[in-house]
Amino acid sequence: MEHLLELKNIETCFKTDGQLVKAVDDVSIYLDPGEIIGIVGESGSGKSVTMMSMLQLIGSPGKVTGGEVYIRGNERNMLEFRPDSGEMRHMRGGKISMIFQEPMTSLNPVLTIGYQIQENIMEHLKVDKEEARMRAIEMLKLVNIPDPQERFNYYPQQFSGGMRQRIMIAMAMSSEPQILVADEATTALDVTTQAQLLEMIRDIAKKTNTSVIIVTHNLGIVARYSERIYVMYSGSVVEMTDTKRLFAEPEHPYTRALLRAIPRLDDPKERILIPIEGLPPNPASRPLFCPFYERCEYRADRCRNGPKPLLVETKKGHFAACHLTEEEKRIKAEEIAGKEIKKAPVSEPGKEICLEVKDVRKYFPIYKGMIRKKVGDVKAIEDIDFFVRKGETLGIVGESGCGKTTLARCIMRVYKPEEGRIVFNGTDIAGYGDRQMHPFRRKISMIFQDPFSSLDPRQTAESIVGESLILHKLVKNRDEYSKRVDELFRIVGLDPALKYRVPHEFSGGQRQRLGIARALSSQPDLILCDEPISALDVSIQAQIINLLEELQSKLGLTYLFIAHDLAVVKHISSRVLVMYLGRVVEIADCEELYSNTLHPYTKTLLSAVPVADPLVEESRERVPIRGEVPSLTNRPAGCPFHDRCDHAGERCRKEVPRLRDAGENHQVACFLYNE
Amino acid sequence: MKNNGRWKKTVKILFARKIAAFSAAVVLLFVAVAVFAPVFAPYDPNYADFASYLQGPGKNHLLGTDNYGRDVLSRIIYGTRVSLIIGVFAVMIACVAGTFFGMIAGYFGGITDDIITRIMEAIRAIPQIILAMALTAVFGSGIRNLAIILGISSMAGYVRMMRGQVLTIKQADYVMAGKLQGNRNFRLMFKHILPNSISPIIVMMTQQVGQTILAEAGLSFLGLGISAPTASWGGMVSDGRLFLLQNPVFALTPGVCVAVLVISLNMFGDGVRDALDPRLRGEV
Amino acid sequence: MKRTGQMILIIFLISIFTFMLVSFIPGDPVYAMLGQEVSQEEYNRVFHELKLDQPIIHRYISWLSGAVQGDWGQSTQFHKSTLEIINERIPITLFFSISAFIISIPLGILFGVISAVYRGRPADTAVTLIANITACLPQFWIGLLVMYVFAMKLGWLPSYGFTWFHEDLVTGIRQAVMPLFCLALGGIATVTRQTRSSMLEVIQQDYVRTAKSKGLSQRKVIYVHALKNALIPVITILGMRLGSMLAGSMFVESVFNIPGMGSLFVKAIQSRDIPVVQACVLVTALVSCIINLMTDILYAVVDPRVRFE
Repeated sequence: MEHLLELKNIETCFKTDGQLVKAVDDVSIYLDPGEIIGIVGESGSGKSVTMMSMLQLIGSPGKVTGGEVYIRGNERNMLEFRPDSGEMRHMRGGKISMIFQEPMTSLNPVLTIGYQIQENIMEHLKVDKEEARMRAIEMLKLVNIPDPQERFNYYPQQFSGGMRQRIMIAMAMSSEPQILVADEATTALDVTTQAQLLEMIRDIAKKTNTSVIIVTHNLGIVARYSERIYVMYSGSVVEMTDTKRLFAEPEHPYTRALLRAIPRLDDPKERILIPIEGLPPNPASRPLFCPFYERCEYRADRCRNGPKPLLVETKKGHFAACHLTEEEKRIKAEEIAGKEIKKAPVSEPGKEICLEVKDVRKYFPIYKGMIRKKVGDVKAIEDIDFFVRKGETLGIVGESGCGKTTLARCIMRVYKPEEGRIVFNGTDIAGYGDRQMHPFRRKISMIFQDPFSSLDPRQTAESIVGESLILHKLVKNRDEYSKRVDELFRIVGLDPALKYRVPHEFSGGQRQRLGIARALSSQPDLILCDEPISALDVSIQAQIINLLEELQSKLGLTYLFIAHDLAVVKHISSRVLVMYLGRVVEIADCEELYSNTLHPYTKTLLSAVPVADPLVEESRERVPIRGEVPSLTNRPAGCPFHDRCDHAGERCRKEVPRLRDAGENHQVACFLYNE
Repeated sequence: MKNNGRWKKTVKILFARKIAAFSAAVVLLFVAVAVFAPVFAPYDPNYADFASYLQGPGKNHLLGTDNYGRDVLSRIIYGTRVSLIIGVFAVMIACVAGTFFGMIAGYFGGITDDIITRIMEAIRAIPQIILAMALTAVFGSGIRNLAIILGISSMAGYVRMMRGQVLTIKQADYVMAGKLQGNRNFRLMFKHILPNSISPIIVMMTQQVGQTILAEAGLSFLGLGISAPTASWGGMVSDGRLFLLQNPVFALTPGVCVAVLVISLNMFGDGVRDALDPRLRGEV
Repeated sequence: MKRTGQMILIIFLISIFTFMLVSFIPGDPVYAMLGQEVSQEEYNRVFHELKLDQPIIHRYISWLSGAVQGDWGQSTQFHKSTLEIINERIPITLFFSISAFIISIPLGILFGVISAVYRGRPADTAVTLIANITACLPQFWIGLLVMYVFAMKLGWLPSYGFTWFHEDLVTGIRQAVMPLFCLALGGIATVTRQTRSSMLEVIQQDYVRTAKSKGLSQRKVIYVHALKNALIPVITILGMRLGSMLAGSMFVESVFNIPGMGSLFVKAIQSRDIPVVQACVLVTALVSCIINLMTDILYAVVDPRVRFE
C-alpha cells in the first residue's frame, strides 16, 4: 500500500561544542490520507525535530544527516531537493502546513494577518490578489474569527493567544494542504481554548479530508484526537500502534511506565502514581544500547549488551522497540505488580483553620497620559472568600487571567489587597507593612512554577536553600547551618554533595526539588505551590507530586496548590476551589466536586480536559465551549460567565451571584442553585 | 570560590577564540608599553633637539622628530600612558556611577526612576563629545579632569542598560522568592540583582574603553584635552598636521596607534560578550 | 503626544544645565571669561550683564526668557550678538551632517543586509571586518589621511575651505567631497553593524520560521518578513546617528578648515566665550531632540506594535 507521506530512517544531528549530537536517530513514520496520527514524547525526544527535518526547516547548527521523505505525487526523495528549491517549497506550505507552539511569536508582528494569509494562498494556489483576499476572509470565518472583513487588516498583537492560534490554523489550511502538522499547537493555551482548537482542527480536517499529525507531550490529547500513535523516547520511536490498543495493551516498558505515572481526571482518589525514576539520557552521551535501559523496570542484562533495539512488529499492527519477549515481559510485569507499592501517605486535616481569606479584593489601576491620570481598573480579584484547615491541601484551579496568581500574591503579601482580611494563624496580615510581615515570611513559603527562573543563577544550591536560615537567624553557627542544609537536601531527595553547584548544573526536576527545599527551610506552616509541576516533563511530574504528598504527611504542612491541570489538582487536593474571571465560582471537597459538579463553568472546564484513555474518552459527555475568556478590563456585568453559559437567564445578566452553600461542604456561585 | 567554575569557563571560552586571544595580546602589549614607558622610549619625550627638527624616519629617530626636534616614537610611547589611564579611569567612573543610579532607578521605580531617567535622557540628548567639550570649558582639562569629564558624559549609557537589566530581573521568580523569604531591599539589590545584571555591564565596559580613548584623542586633537607639552596621541596629530608635507609620519602614526588600540579593545570586548552570553554558546 | 511632553521636559533640563555652566566655573566667572587684566568698567558691565548680583533663580529665569526670545547674550570674543554668529555658522554644519546622514543610511542598511544574508561567507567577513575597523578610526585622522593623499600627494582636491554650491558649484563639490566622505564613513559603519546584528536576531524568530514553513522563497522571507522587523532597532540608532554627525563635524570642520559651528564651538571654548558655548550646546541638544522625536514618529509608522499599545 502506498502511503500519503512516508518518512524513512530520518537522522538529524546538532553540532554543539564541536560534538555531533543525534537529536533524531533513525525515525520512520507514515501517514495515510485522512488519517489523524499522534506523536508523543517528552521534551528532547526528537518529535518536533523530526517534523522540522521532514520540511527541511532545520537551521544551523542542525543538519539532516540521513533518511528519505516521500510524498504522494512525487517519485523522488524530497530530502534530495535543496531547502529553497521549488519542489521543496511546493511541499512545504503547499502540501504540508505546520502550526507551531507559540501563538504569540509565530505571526509576524509588522504585517497584517490578512497579508500573511493572503501571501500563503497566492504562493500555493496561484490565484490573484483579490481572490486570495476573498479566500483569506473565508478561512477566517471558518475558524470563527468575528468580523473577518474588518479583522483582515488587523495586526497579530490585536488578538489574544487563542485567536492567534486560530489565525495560524486558518493560514495553514488556506493553501489546501494534504497534511497539517500541529506541533504542540495548543500547549501554551488554556484547557478550554485547547479543546476548542483541537476540535476545530479535527472537524476541518475531516471535512476537507486532510491528514493531521498531532505532535504533543500530552497523552490525553492523543487519546482523544488521534487514531494512531507513535511514542518517541530519546530520539527514537519506541512504540507505534492504533490508539485504543496503545492504551489497552501498551507493549514498550516506557509506555507502560508513563501510563502509571500520570494522574488522570477519572482516577479514584487513592490512586498511587508510580514515578519513572531517573532522567532521559543526555543526547550527547546516549548509550549504544537501549536508551531506556537505565530507567526500565523490565530490564535484563542482554538489553545492556545488545545494540539499540529496533522497532519490530510484535503483534499485527503493533510495533515496539524492545529486546524482551512477550513471555519475559509478562513474568516481569507480575513481579512488578507483586511488589509492595508504597501507599500514598494520607494526611488527616485537622479542625483548626490555618488561613482564612475574607472578602478580598484587588484592583490594579490603569494610568494614561503624561500626568498619569487614572482612567480605570483591572479588576483582578473580587469577593474572595475561603478558608484552609491545618494540614489540608486546597487546590485552586482556573484558566489564565482568572486571578489565581493575584490571589496567591495577595496572600504572600506581595500585593496589598484593597479590601478584606487575610487571617493567618489568627492574625490579620492584610494591612501589614514590610517590617510587620517579616516574622510571618518564614511561616508562609512558596514553590514556584518555573524551576529555571525561580533559582538565582549566581548562587550555589547551598546558599539558595540556606538563605532563610540566615535571614531569620534559625541557626546559631556555621556548623549548624551546613548540617541543616544537608538535612534539607536529604529531605527532598538530593545528595548534599551537590550543594556547591549552581542551578544550571541541575536538571529541571532537581531544580524543583531545590525550590521545595528552600520553601521548607524556614519550617513554614503554609506553602503556596504555584503550578509547581507544570513546567516539568511528564515522567518527572509524578516524582514531585509524590514528594509533596510525602512531605505533607511527614511535616504536617498545609498546601495551597494552584494549578491549571485538573487531574493533578484532583490527585493532590482534599478540597478544590474554582476561579473564573477574578471570582470564586465553586468550592467543594475533591470527590464531591468531580462527581457532583454544579457550576456550568466547572462543567465546561472538566469536560475540556482530555483523559489518557480512548475508551473513557468515547463515553464522556462533552459540554460545548462557547466564546473566549473576556478581558479583565471589560468584564461583563452580572455573572462573569453569563455570556458563555447555556443556562444564563435574565438575572445572570444583571446581578452577580454570591457564593452559597449547596450542602455537603459544597459552595457554588450560581443562580441555578439558589434554592 | 562560589562562581569559580563559571568564571573559569568564561575565561576558557574567551581565549579559545583566536581573535579574542590575539586582541587581548595586543592590548596587553600596549599596557606593557605604558607601564614600562621609560624602558621602551629611546629618548626623553620632552627633550627638544632644535637642531634636528622635523626629520623623517631614520637611524637615530625611528619615526623621525617633531617640530621641536622631539623624538616622535618616544612621545607615542608616553602618549600610550595618557590614553590608557584616561580610558580606564573614565570608564570606571562611568560604570560605578551609572550602575548605581541605574539600579536605584530600576529597583525603586516611581518618582526616583522618573527623575533619574529624565536627567539621563537630557544628558544623552547632547552628543557625548560636545558635552565633554562644554565641560572642559568649565573645569579645564588635564588628565584627572578629563577622566572625570569623559566618565560623566558617558554615564547615561550605563544607567540605561542597568535600569533595563534590573527591570527584567525584578520580574524573575527568584527575586520574588528572595523577597518572600524576608530579604530587605538593599540585600536583595546587592546579593541577588547586581550579580545577575553585571555581565552586560562588563561587556559594555570593555567596549567603552575604546570609545573613551577615541574621545580623549579627539579632545586633545581639538586642543581641549591634554595640553602641551605632555605627550598625547590626539595632541600629536594636531601638532603634526601642519607639517604633513615635511613629515607625514609625525601626524599619522599616533592615529594608527589610536586605531589599533581601539580595534583590539573592541574585538576583545566582542570576545568577552560572546563568552559571557550563554545564548551565543548554544547553552541556555 | 507623550513624547513631545517628555521632549520639552528634557530641553528644559538641558537649559538648566547649560545655564549652570557659568556658575560651575571655579572662581570669578567674569575674570574667567575676560581674563585678569580687565578694566573695572568692563568688569562692571559684564558683571551686570550676567546679573551676578541677583539670586540664581532670577538669573536663570531672565536668561531663559532671553534665550527663548532669541537674546543669547553678547559673544565676548567676537563682540557680536551670539544669535547672529550662530545663524551664520549653523547652516554649514547642518549641511554636512544631514548630507552625510542621508548618504550613510541606505548604504549602511544595504551592507548590513548583505552581510547578514551571506553570514559566514567571504562577503560577510569582508564587510564586517571593514565596518569594525572603520568604526574605530578617529575621524580627524581619516580626514588628515585623505587630505594627505588626495590633496597633497595627488593634488586632485583642494585641501580646505568651503563654498556654497550656489556660489560656485564645481569648487563647492570639490571642497565637500573629502569632509562628507569622512563624516559618512563612521555612519555607514555603525548602521551596517546594527543592521547586521538585528537581521541575524530576527532570522532566529518564530515568525520567520513560520514564513519559511509556508514555502515562501528565500527572497520573500528576507525582504518582506525579516527586514521590516530588523529595521526597527536600526531606527533607534538613526536618531543618535545625527547627533554624532554633529559631533563628528567638529573634527571635520577643524581638519578642513570649514567655518561651521564646530570650529566656532572649539574657538569659544578655548577663549571661554561662555554665551557662545551655551548657545552651541543648546542648539545641538535641540537638534538632537527634534531628530529623536522624528524617530519616534517613524517608529510608530514602521512598528504597528507601538501604535496599538
